[in-house]
Amino acid sequence: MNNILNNLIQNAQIWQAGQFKDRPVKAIASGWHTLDHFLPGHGWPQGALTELLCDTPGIGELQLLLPAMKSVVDKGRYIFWIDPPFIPYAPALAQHGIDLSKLVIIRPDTPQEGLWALEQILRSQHCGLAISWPKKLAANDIRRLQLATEKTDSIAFLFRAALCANQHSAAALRLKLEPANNALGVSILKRRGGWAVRQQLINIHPPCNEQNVIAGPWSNKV
Amino acid sequence: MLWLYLDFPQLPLDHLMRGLEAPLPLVVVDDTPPAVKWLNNEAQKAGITKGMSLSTAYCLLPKLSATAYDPTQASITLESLAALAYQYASHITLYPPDGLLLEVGSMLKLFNGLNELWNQLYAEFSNQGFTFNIATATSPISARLLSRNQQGLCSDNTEELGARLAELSLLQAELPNNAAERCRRMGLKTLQQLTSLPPIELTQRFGTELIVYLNKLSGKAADPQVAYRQPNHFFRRLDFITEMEHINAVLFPLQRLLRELSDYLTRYQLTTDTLLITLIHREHSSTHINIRSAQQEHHSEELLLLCRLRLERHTIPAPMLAVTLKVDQLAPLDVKSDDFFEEVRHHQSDLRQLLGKLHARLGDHAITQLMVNAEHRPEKAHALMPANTSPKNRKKNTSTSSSLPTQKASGILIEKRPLWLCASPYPLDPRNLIFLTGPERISSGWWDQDAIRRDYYTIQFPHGALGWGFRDAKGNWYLQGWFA
Repeated sequence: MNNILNNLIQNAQIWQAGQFKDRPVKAIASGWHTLDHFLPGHGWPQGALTELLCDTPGIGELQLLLPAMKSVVDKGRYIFWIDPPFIPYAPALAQHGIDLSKLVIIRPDTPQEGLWALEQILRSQHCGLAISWPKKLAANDIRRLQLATEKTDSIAFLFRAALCANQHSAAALRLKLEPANNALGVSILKRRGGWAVRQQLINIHPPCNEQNVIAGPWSNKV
Repeated sequence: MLWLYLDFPQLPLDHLMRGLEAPLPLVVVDDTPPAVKWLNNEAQKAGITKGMSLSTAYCLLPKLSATAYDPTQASITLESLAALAYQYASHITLYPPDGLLLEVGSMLKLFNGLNELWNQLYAEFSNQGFTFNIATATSPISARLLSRNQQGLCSDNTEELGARLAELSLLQAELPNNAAERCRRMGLKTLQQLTSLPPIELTQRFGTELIVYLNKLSGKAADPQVAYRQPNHFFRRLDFITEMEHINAVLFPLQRLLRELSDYLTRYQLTTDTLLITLIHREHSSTHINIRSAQQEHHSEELLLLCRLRLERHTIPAPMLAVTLKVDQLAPLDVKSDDFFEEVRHHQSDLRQLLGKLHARLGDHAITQLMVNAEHRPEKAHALMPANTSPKNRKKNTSTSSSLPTQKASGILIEKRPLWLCASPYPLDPRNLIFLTGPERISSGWWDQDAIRRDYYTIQFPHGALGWGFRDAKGNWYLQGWFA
């Protein structure tokens, strides 16, 4: 019985919560104190895959990553966007102080090419951060990507549908993003060296009140 | 002056053999009816001989591969050999269809003697897989004669060379005006017998042409040679003996071409970022494949990797007969010495290699970078431009981003913009929506075709997402972005 346990541990099939607490995790601060508190290494893990499960656009899913993006770009490293669902809007990114020359947008013709590109990017020493919206992703693809990332210190974000929450994934960190009470609700589904964390509210959008709106000629119609 | 002649007796055959992974019986035929002109060892083993008619050869060996002699191809091959010889001599003359003449007298000091030069030349052309004969002599014609008759000698001793030359028969001496036949009738057999005759008598009997030839041979008369000039592009062609049906089969011959390219680039201290590969089909127009790398390359391994990535996703329309490699965009190699900041530079080249790989596999259209335009219309305020890491573009790139603060100051970007922009505005039903900020009126572009008059609002959807929408002049609502 003892042998079986030892084998399991040696094969790295299971991780022990105790080990990860000792080992320092390389991370870049996410810039959101609520989140950093719960993340191992107090930030987005470097050299690991982070899955973001999110169904609706416009809930602040990119703003969640902006502080990390800024710190990566400020270090002179590159951010790769692979197959984003919309056009990353340059004026807005520039407003947030991100150097556009450090952004590279990749639009592959097929999902396979997208995965290939992501893997190449993650293997490269030069990539600081990669954000990908894979259309098709098998469990072994994630494993492959996770292994590719481990060799470098880049941060990799995978945006996937909330439906995938129940599927097994090799990603080191899995977050579920939902809108909640005018804020972004982030629940941690999986993290290394800790239990899942239930929904935390992050105030992404600065508060705005409806008095800002000047009623136009259309207001009586609405 | 010392001349060195390189004779390639089976140039067309060697050219074809170079494209082969494993040797197979092969002949090159010429004339009508086709007769075997060159043949390799495998064909010889089957009993095929020189001059045999092609049908007889086929009877002896049904699986024989036969190719017709192509003079244009032979001259291309000869030129590529001249390019190769260029690193050993500056004055090269082409002797089509199968010879090269090098002036080596001026190179002896550089190579520390004739022996060393001879050995290096020998190694170079053997590595390239060519059969050849070398000879040195004090005049161009004598070098050619000695080489073609395999009497070559690594020597610059005039007497020794003269003795070799004297032994040549008159048939081997390539005398002008069929003089050899007439001499034979006179009982003259060797060159020595001919040259020992008084020149005046010879002129009377054979005319001035022969005496001029003999004077050139002995070096008494000047024999000016037209120097070969290196073209400023790289072009090589490899023919396949059997038609290739699979793209992967091209990689092996391509590897040889790329190695030649790499040698060529290294020799001239050049780099390139564009390769043009042409696949030639029998009954189909040729396929041109343009391979671009983000970085200037000159290593064959890197180039092969790029080619492999690009070719792997290419389907060929018809079987291939030949492959050519052309490079005409050459840039001087930027030689950098290592220093303290080497690591930083290493990173930079790593990125270019990465982009080169992505370009090669995904195509140029797939990789873009963002740019801000000074425009009020949201669709035109941004632009996607092809990613290019060449220093020139990068400079331009940074200038756009650094000009942003001034744009801010000029007031174009005061209002908050969404991080996601929809490719085209999406019709929206304004009911059940909460309007958070607005309106921001954008009325612009009256000077061109795309005039807009819109009131922009930040819109909250019932499920909590924030969008960026507008009402146009007709009162229709559209969604144009997400505050993601």
